[in-house]
Amino acid sequence: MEWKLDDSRPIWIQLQEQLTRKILSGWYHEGEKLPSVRELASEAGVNPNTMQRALVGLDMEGLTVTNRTMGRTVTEDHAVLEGMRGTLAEGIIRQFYESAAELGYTKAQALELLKRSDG
Amino acid sequence: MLGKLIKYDLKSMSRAFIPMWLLAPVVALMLSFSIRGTVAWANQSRLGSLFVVGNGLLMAIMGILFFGALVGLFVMTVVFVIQRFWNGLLKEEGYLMFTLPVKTWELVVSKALTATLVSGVSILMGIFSGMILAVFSTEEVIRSLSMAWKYVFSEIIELGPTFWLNVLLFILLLILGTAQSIYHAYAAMAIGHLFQTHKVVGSCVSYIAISITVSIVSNIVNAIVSTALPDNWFNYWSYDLMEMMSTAYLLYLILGTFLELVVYHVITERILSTKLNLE
Amino acid sequence: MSGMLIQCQEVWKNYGSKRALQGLNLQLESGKIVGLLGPNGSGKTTLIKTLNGLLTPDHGVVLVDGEEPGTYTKSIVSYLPDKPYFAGWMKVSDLFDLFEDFYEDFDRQKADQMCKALQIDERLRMKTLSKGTKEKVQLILVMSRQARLYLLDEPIAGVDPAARDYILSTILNNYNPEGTVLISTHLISDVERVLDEVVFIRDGRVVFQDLVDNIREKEGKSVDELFREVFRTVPFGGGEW
Repeated sequence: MEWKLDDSRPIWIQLQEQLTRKILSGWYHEGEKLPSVRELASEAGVNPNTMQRALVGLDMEGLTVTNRTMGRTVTEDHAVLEGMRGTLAEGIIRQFYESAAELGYTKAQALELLKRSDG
Repeated sequence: MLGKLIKYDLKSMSRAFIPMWLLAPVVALMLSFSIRGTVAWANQSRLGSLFVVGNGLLMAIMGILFFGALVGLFVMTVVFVIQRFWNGLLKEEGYLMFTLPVKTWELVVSKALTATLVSGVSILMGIFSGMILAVFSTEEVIRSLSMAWKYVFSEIIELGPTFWLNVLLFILLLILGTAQSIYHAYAAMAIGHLFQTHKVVGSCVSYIAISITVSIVSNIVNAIVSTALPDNWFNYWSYDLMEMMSTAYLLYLILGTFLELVVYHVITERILSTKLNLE
Repeated sequence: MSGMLIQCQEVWKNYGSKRALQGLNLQLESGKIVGLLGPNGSGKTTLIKTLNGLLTPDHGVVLVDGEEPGTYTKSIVSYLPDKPYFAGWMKVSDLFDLFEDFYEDFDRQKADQMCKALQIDERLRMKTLSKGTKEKVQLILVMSRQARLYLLDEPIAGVDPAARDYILSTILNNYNPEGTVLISTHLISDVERVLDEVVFIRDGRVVFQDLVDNIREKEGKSVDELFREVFRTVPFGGGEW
């Protein structure tokens, strides 16, 4: 999985988003130990401090758990994972409606378009 | 740290100098044999004149080569002394040397010590090649030299400790004098380095200015000292041939040379410590 | 004030009539990767050389870890100059020996490994190496030290993108996380993502200093964009009249 960073938003936020997606998509599965800060930073070509900040963000969301012996692992708490999946999905849906509205579609029209397109 | 610096400086020097040091005596040896050949065969008519001419030509070429080797040794030593300081400290290589965790005086002393050593060995090798030439070229030289040596040796044995003290002092003076002339160049380059532009010209002008200043100061000091002291104390040209110079005068010269050296060192070290500008 | 790794107060430096630093003030703490950004001739190289003692400032105070540049600061500073600085006769291994002799924090094993990874033969003399290889050797020397302060002067100027990525990842993978890395460059977009903090320098003064993520959060734009704005449209002769 490639790391893609755009120019306008803080790098740590983008890193946190991409790590979240990697966890929810199963790239890192439940209970798996994450690579060290340094390895991740090197892989993404970013400053370790920035990566650290993104990982602390994951800890705060509850997506990862840090303990002294194991290091940082993906949570095994399904409720948290599902909750985050839901939040992300909501965001995507909201964005869809907003973009559709910009093109002049009402919510209902947009939904109709969506239904038709998956055929 | 000084030891490590000297090790590094010696290493950079030995590559260039060892071949040159060996070249001069080898050429001297070859020249002396070709001289012997020319002398020995010159009167032998059964050898063709072409052979004699050829041998003479060989001798001439060897002579030029020997002269070239000596001049080369001299020039190379002077260039080395200047270039190791200028390029090694004041140009790009200086980036490396001045970011090492060493004191500035260590950098300067290391350069000065290796340069003195190199100059000393070059001088010795020059003398050594001359001796080789003298000893091997003709039997007469060997004979007269060995006679002279026997005479000198028998005289020396009877000389007292003063002679040996003077010899030691004289050698010390030679070494200090070499180091002092090297430091003279260093101080001139350090001052030249202060110029914004034309640093090389600045160094040359500083060198000359220092020479003039030193000669004025030393003349004044000499005048004062010689009037202040009783005549016989300062009577340096002793009539005793074996005590060429009086111990007192040698000590006086050593002190003067040493003081000059210290002043140069302080100038160089202070400038490089407080005014370094590696642009 | 204490705890700052770099402190510069009112530092002035002229080269003859040319002004290089004009009352520069700067404070940097430990544990950061900092970009020293400014156009050519803005004083980046002069500042770096002042910090490592190759230049003596005309006025002002320069302190590294609380001390003026000297034997102590040189033992904790690892410097990558903007041009090669070694004698041509030296072999790569000679340089490693030299660093091992003088710097206690030099990790010979690491240097050897990096050389092997890049397939550089340590028995070769510096003068026989290509420009690119020389620069790599220099980077290996600098990053094999566990220094408190890395001063990297234009490490990615004039290299192709592949070499640039290699250089940046070498820096990231090898620097001492307790130390600070100061990278001077005018190629901002290339280094932006590895930086914690940026310092903008113009006409020998620090004109702006902030964390990269703060800039993106507050301004909603990249450091590169901000830099272009700050340094754009300075009319000929400068300023208003």
